[in-house]
Amino acid sequence: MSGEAPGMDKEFSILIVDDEEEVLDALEFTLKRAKTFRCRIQKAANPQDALPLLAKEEFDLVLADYRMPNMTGVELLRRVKEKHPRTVRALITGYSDVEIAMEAMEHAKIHYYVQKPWNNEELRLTVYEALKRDWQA
Amino acid sequence: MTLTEVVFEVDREDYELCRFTSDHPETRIVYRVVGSPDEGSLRGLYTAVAGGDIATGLVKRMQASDRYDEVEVASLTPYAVVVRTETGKAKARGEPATLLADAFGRDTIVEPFVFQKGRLRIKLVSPRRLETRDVVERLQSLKKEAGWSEFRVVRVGSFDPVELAYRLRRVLSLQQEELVRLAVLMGYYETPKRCNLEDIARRLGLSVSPVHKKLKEVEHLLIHAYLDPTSVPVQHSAPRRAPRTSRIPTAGAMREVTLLLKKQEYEAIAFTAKYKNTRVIFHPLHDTEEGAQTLFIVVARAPEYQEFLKDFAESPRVKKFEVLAEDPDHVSLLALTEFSPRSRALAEIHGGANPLAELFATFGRDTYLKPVVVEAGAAILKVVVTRRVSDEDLIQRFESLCRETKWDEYEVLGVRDVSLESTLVGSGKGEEITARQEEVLRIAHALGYYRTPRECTLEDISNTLGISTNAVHKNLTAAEQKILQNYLGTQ
Repeated sequence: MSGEAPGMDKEFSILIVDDEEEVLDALEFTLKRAKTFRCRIQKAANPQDALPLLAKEEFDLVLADYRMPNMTGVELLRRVKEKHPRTVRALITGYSDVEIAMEAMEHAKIHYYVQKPWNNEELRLTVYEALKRDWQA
Repeated sequence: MTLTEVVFEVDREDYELCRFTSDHPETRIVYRVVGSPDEGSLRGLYTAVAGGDIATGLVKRMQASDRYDEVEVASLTPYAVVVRTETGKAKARGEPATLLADAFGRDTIVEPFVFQKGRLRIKLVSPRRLETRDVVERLQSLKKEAGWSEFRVVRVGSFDPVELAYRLRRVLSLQQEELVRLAVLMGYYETPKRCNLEDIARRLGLSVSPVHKKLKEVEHLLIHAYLDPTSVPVQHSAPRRAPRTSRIPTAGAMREVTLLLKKQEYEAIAFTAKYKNTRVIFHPLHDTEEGAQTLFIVVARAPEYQEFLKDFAESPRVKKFEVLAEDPDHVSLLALTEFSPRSRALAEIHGGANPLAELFATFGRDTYLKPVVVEAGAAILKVVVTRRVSDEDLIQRFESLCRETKWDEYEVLGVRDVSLESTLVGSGKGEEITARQEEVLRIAHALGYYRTPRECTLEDISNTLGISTNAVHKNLTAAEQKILQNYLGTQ
């Protein structure tokens, strides 16, 4: 196989929002090690820190945890949808409650839903699919 | 030893998923059992090839259904949703997945159920010869217990892994395949023919003689491969080479990646390499806390399969196994295999880690491995994924996985979209060759009709069989056409 993967010619912008620092670091570490895409990652420890970042920039992908203080990830992603409808919205959750998934699908029209614990390779594959947006073709 | 493939459809209004797919004909839902947390209960995974509002609607419907004790969204992408369900023992008793094992035997391979356009299609392979009447009787009693209002038998027929393995293998080069495909399209193999050799030659810009010679070569090669699959080498048309353009799968498609594997440390591969007329089919069932349940069907004569059982019992991957059925031609086993980190390390020492866990972890929990056919020292694996990535990406990832798993002799044979019509391990038959056609073909082959130059005439064959030359010609032509078309259909 010759040449770089298609995603390597562009640097994608990704915003990760999670109130657990270890999770933020783990996600950043996992995504930075992807061989099929390059990314610039910004992290926010809560939705309040994320909102100003979203006001300044249209990210290619926002990855948010569900359970966070003062605002759930679904509410945050709903706001992302309003402000930047083209941004890919992904929810990560450690909860298996189907109500959470339904809320995310109906109110935030999320594109991706990933349960914790995630598999690193699967997560990279999911993010790569999301960034390529082939499903929009 | 003949296995039997059974395909039937249930058309029942109060299966909410049948109604759902009737309302949304562009959707397909695939269901398989992935566990049995308490004995008799069912854990299932539904993969619905549907996104957006359709996916939301489906999850709502499943949540509202009283069929499940628990419903959980395992993952969501813009084109597919995966839902995990738990059904307790009491409710599971009446579920088709439970009833099928009772009706057809625990050593029956049941393919994932497919809901599409208002119907539920079920396919299974039994390691025993079943007649249509026998199948219908079993389904009639199943119908009462499952509460089906109606069912329809789509197919009951033999399932021969040798024939299957032949049809899975690419025995023609790309050039040969292009030539025969053109000839088929132009109607050269129809009765009456729609074109002649001159027409084909003109189309290709060649003279008649080389076209005639090449077509004969192809026909003879395919017939040899059909009658004696292990005698014809496989053509590796595109191993480890990326396609020039990255094809993105069509909407609604699931993708099937086919791998060829030869690793002698795996007992089934070593066994079939040693005994060329044997086959092993293994079918991963589901995970338990202790490991993975796998159904093995060893198609061999009694003295040989005893040797397999001995090697199998000594494998570091196998915790325990149970013989489900045994007769002079085959043995069926239910095995518990391990792929915990501890056993993986152990298996590495002895050779051959269990790669299944790696596959599923990489491509998502709804990825599944179709029943694996092992024959003549090679295993054909077909992995079905719902990831919407290009062929190039998929092949690259599989190759990387194969290297990491230390499969040193492997080949990614190809990627294709999986339609509703694709069947167990690719055994979607085109037109079947009749017993009479096969008999005439085998006699012709044995007498040297397909050698170059021919070593017999139609008259020689007709004298041997005691039928007219006209009848010989008709049977041979029909058999050749079906072999060609079935081969092209699988490629």
